[in-house]
Amino acid sequence: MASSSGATGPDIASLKEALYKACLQSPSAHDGFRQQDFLDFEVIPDDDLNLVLQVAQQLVNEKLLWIFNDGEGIGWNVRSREDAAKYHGLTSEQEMVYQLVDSAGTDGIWSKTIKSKTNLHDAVFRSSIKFLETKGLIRDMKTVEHPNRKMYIKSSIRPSDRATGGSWYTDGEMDEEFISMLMDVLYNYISAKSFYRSSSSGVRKEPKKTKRVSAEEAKALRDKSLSKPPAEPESFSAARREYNRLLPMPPGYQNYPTLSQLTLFIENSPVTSVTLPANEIQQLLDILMFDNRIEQVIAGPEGVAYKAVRKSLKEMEMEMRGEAGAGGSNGLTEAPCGRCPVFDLCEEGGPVGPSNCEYFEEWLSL
Amino acid sequence: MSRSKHAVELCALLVDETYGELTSRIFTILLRRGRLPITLLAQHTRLSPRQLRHGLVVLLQQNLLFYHTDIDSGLTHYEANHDAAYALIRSGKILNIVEERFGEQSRDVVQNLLLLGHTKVADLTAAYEAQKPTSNGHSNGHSATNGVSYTNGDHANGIHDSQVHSTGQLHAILHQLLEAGLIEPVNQIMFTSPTDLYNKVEKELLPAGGTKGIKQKEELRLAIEGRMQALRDQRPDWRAKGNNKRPHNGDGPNGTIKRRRLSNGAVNGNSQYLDESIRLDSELVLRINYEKCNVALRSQSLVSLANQRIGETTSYVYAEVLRLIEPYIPRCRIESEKDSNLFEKANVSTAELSAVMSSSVNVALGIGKASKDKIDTKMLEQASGRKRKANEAEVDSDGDASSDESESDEEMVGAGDDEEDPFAEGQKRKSGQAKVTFQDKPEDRQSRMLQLRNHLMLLAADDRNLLSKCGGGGQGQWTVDFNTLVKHLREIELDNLILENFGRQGHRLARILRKFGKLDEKQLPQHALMKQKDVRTKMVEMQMAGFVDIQEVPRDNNRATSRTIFLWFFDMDRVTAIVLDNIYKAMSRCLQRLEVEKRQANDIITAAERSDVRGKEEEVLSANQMNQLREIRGKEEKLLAQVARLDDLIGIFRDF
Repeated sequence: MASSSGATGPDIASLKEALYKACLQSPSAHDGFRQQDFLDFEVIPDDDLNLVLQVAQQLVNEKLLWIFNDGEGIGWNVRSREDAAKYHGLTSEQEMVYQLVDSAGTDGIWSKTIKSKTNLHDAVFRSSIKFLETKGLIRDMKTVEHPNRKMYIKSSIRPSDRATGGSWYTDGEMDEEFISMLMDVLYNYISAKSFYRSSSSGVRKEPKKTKRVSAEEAKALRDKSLSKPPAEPESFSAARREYNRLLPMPPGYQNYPTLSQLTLFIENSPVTSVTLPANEIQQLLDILMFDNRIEQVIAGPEGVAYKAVRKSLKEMEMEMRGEAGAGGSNGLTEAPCGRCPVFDLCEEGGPVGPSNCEYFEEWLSL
Repeated sequence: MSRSKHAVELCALLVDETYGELTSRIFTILLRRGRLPITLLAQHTRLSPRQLRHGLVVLLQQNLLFYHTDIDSGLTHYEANHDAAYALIRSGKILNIVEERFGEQSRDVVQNLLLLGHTKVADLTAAYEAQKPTSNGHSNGHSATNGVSYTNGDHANGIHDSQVHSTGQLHAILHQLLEAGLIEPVNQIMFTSPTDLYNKVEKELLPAGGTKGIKQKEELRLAIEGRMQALRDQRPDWRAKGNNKRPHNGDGPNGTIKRRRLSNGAVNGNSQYLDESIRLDSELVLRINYEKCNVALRSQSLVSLANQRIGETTSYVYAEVLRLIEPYIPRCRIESEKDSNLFEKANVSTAELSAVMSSSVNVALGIGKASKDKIDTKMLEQASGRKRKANEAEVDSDGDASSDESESDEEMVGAGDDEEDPFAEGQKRKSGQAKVTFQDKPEDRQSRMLQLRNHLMLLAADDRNLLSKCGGGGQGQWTVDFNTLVKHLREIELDNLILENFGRQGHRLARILRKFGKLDEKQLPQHALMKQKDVRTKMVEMQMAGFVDIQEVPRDNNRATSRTIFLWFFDMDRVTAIVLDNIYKAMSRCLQRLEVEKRQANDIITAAERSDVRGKEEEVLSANQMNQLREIRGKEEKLLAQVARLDDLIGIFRDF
């Protein structure tokens, strides 16, 4: 194309320089340029459209510009001279591949996408990738959204947060230890600020019974308290003391921790050196809420603050004993039937039934 | 309405357990086969007409049957009443409630009513007259009765000093219970099955030309339901006519009315001698009002929720609030328009509450302290106002409420001091007793009111909306939105189940789904911060149990897996139904197991029940036998307690 318009040849070289410079200096450099943008730079004499196209094509050939096509039509993007230099010495296939990886940026590109876009033969594609990798131009990467896809990225840049999954991922794996540790830290902090710890234990003693307790009443009392073992073990009474000491804050209390306070707390605490932004802390708080460990209250300068949900007595007791476990339980889960693996089959007269149930046997002889 | 297999099984077991084999045979046939006339019933049960009639009488006496006599053919059909059969399991809890509120004597009366089914006042009186010398308040009208109640394993040894001593006292107790609504006069409608009643009313109300279109049909349905409710509420007036000495408010008489001390000196602090002069119509037929009892049971679960979520003292306050509201609530499920009007009256003001709140509950305690600048109740008010509007509940009196707030804000800081002796004022008042008189100075009363208000506001501010504010009069009017609360109760129990069965992760995922509704499979790991693989495993595990389910939305006609969106969802109603059925099944299993255990220990049980052994087991039986007896009693207690706890869940999921 350039040779056909020989008369303007020298012109093009200087115009090219001017246009490239204008592009680099333009404030909207990473949004890409349209034809009209080039004209607006006023480096092309007489707004000659033909000339613009020629100059642009030259720059594209030199890899200083690259063409993109979005919904609004064709446009050009500028590329630095160093990056452009990397294109030198590539075959056209390699160039096509490299260009795709290059334009994918920090998100990386799936090998399958490259193949479908370039329409290259598998062998050629693989040799191109290999060549580019050995030259150190691209490298493979992993994305957390699709861990099984083979992705490529320019070796000079780091994958985006979307691909790495942000702070919660280490080497593309969800770091559950880290997450649960942070959640515990947050929970303990919120919990410490959610209750008032009374100095005197127990709100009210059981009114002393002056009347004689008959056998039946005693039995009824025992029935009432059947859920707990008759003789309280130490861990239980300790838990009960602690449980009764936790008093609610008065209504309208404003000092429940807020998101920004919690973010700051994590930032200043020695538990992690990673800086976690507020939205990631929010994510953790959401999960704590889903786990029913904390809840939102309307208070504080931000309008929303967090307070811990009061633990059940059983939960506390288990904690005191150092057992991990789910706190809530009810009549169904504590009976053998609630957790029976063959509950569906259970039938009087069937292969398993109430009369030959070994779970009942065990439960009743406890 | 047909019930699930497990519900039927359970009902049959309960009838069997309480009223013996004859009745349960008839009842089971009716449950399985639906309504039957007596000839077919005889065929299926293979009982002699005499036996059959005997059994039917017992069942009818207990309101376990509905019957319907066709006007044209004169044929009577019998139908099983599931709800009444199920209610048998609650008897223990009802007795507990009655005892707690009205004392032992009332409990005794209710126990008799439970055993006898619906009873004429005259018969009840006669039963008591006859019983007097035997000093055992537990006669049971039917030979088939084996007298197992669900509170306390056996009640062979009656409580001697809790006897009702005179007819007048009996009448007073009945009067009190009627006032409270825990027992009710029987009317004919109660023996007609809901379907029959519906048909009957429909026949009456159906316009000549029939109904056209959905709208008219809907109108007719509503009209019928309203009429049915009206018919149900139509009860014989039990208030004795011409007796103007009516005690007010069901609180029983106070000081002015004579008290009679009885010669045998059974005076124990809380048993009360009520007015002798109340006489009920002796032809009045009474029965237990299970619907009202459910209201009381619901209050109990709500109080324990408050205790768990906020604290002990606040839960006492809450209990008092609920008790004050209860008289306005005839039953748990309030649906029709007419009832919701009735519901609006169900509120209580801080001042009213403070007047009846027992002084032994020190409301100064139970709330933490904080400096004034950290407290701002305005925001709370606004927020609750918003919440209320969002809920489309009572939108009235918003401005009213907030203006009332501001004046007392300053004083509302923290709550009293910790050092004050909370036990100085003695026992908590039993509710049957005279009102507490306030001797404290006015300013004390004022501060007490403010402390009370603090507790009430805590309840209102809670995430579960334990209480909601509905007006500013009398230092704030409060009401309870039972429908939402019960929904919360259900959610909590479901969460517990899920937490226990599927661990913390399953619990998290289920709650996420409940919040977001339907959620794409790919979104779940992001919200839960869990590995995709773990999420899938958990979800499938829960799907197998029926707790969550998946919906496939293909993006094109090929329905290829890769082009399909998978949406997970958590259907509360469905899960509730599944859980209910599981609970029914677990309950039957417990009862069946109990039967097995008892059969195995048959020897020792018969030995212990011999009339010469009863009451002095320890002397007569050998050590070995005693051990066996204890073992079986222990197992029985365990299993029955378990059944009672399962029943709590049924209450939450079905009745409340």
